[in-house]
Amino acid sequence: MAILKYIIGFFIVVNISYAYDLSLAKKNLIENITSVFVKDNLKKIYINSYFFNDIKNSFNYPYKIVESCQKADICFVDKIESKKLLKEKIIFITNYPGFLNHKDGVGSFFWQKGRPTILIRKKAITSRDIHLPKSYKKFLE
Amino acid sequence: MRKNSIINFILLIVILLILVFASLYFFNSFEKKIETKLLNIEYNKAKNISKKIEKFIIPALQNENMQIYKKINKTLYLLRDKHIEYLYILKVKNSKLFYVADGSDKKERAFLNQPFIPEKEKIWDRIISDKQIKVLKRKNIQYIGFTYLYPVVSNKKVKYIIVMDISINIYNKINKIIQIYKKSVFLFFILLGLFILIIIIVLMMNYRQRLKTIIDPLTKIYNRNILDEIQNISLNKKVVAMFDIDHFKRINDTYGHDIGDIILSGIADIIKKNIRNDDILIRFGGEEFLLIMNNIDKETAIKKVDTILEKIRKKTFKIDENISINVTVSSGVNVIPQDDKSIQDSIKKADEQLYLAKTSGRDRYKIYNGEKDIKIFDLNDIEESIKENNIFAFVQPIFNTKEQKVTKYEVLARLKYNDKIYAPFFFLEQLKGTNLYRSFVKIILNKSLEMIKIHKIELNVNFYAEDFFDNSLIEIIKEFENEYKDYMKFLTLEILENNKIQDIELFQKRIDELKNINIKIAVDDFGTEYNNLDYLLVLKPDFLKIDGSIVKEIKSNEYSIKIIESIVILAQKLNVKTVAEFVEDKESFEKLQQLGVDYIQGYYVGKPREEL
Repeated sequence: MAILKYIIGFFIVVNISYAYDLSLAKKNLIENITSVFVKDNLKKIYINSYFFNDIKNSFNYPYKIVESCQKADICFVDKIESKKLLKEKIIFITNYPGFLNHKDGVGSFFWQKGRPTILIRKKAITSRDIHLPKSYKKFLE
Repeated sequence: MRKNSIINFILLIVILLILVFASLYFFNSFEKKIETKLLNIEYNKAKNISKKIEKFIIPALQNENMQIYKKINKTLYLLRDKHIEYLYILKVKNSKLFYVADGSDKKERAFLNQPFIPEKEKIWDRIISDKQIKVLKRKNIQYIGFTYLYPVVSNKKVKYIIVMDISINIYNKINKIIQIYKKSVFLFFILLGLFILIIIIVLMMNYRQRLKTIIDPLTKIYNRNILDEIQNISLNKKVVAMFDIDHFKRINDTYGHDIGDIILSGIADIIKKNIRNDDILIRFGGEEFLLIMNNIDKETAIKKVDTILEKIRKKTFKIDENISINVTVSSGVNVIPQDDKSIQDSIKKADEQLYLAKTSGRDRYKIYNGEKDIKIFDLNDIEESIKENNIFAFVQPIFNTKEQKVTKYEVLARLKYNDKIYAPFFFLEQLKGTNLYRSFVKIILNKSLEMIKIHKIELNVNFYAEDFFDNSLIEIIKEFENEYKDYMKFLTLEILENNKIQDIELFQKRIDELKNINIKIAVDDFGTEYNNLDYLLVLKPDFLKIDGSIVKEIKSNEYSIKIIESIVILAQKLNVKTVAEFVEDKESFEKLQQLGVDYIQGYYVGKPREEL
């Protein structure tokens, strides 16, 4: 078997550059965040973000993409369309300056330096009586 | 031999496979070493940059204001090379991490004091606890191959972490180098493989060609070309034996060459079966075989030769329902080849013994063990003897039974060498067919005719039938004719036919020429070999010399008496005189007289002597 390994190792050019599916990573993380914050069976998601728009069509049940933040359980947006919604809905702003500017937002989810960054406001969680799993504690501001 | 070549071929393949796998193993470990070495270059580069940042930039971070932040970001940006995707500094505060400097492009640049949430907390915790440089290999971050983490320690605590995200391109670069190397090695192996394949093919072709040149196609044993390759072998503990099939020419002439080939193969097989694998058996000539026995003492070797001769003697070659052939073999054995200068000398001595075995009656072996009493002459020795007048014409008396006295003599050639006298069988075979033979014949005839002239006696001189096909004998006799014209009637030529006469007409013509000058003709060894009755028709001889093998049996074999009786009657009818030779005792002498034989010759009558 060891000999076989050497032969395979020799004839197959091993590609050290790892294949990384960014769209899949984005979709998985949105589903993960949604599952933490939305407890309904059908989880309605609104996306209006330059960075995340490309994955809108990739969700399946129980995740459903809706047309407006109003109709959604959770929103991922670049800009805040209405301050009222900010207080009512669970809104993740998809850039850091937006997160800094809107203190009422639940959190922020954006991509920086090739890696995802999640930030969650403790105050917003407490006021909405949302219980975070242990793995999400590190994202609390 | 074929089995050996297959084993050699398999061995070669196994060695090749081992070489290939060893090379692959070496290549794989070498590939890892290259990768590590190239990565180490990048690590060292990252370490040097980090040290510079620690020395020159970290102190400036004490003042956290935008102005300084922007300046530091610009500096970090300039420190990046094409492989450093991101270069930034994180501040450690209550085990949490915050950006305090970021040399990234504007789009990716973090805000001052922006929290940094690591995706693998444990490694980050570890760098804070053990304060050692860490390298994280990345699989889940876009564009990043590995992240280099350099802790900046102050008061035994990690205050900052310099982070360098190294581009995945560095792996691509390493990959490219390895691939080039792999391709080169692969090409090398292909070329090496082709080279080895060509070598194998050439070797195999050479081997086949070599087999063709050293193997006799008929008997599948070595031919004498192998001697070139073994001429320098040590002759210690070896025994050299020559074998020759007796009367092989007769087999070829009687049954044809195809049957002769069957006999040759059969004899080779018998010898092969009775020798060891490390012995060398060579088809030395037409029906001659040379055997070089390795690591053997002389007693065992002689026993082996004896066994071979015995097995050949017992073997019957059944050609078809009607033809069965039995053959015998003569052998000469040199049991002390270690005393010889070369293998050729050893073979020569074995060949001399073979010749002795042949002349001693065949179907036997003779051994050379270093005794010097027997000399086989080469042409130089004979030429020297001729030049120094050391060729002698001995005479042996022939008793006339009618007149009851010696009336004739047979001339017997002798050669003197180192004060010893040698009979013709020591030198005649070597002499035949050479220019020296003519000189030798001339000397013997001259001496014979001179004796006749002086003593007025009848003399018999021996010749082979084949001598008459060469003009030289007739020319020599004609040269003597003038001087000895009146004495030719006292000369009898004893003719021994050792081969079947091909050109009867020429032979008869020559005999008639001799008879015309009154020379008499005797048939030698009548009753054996080729000397058959039809021979009498051609020669119309004056004498018949009854073969010694028949005469010797006269005391014990009734048939011998009857044969001699019949020959005498036949001779009387043809008006030919009979001569019985090899008579060694009184009983035989008297018996032959009773049977009516005209002349008797042998030791009983008188031994050969130098003078009359």
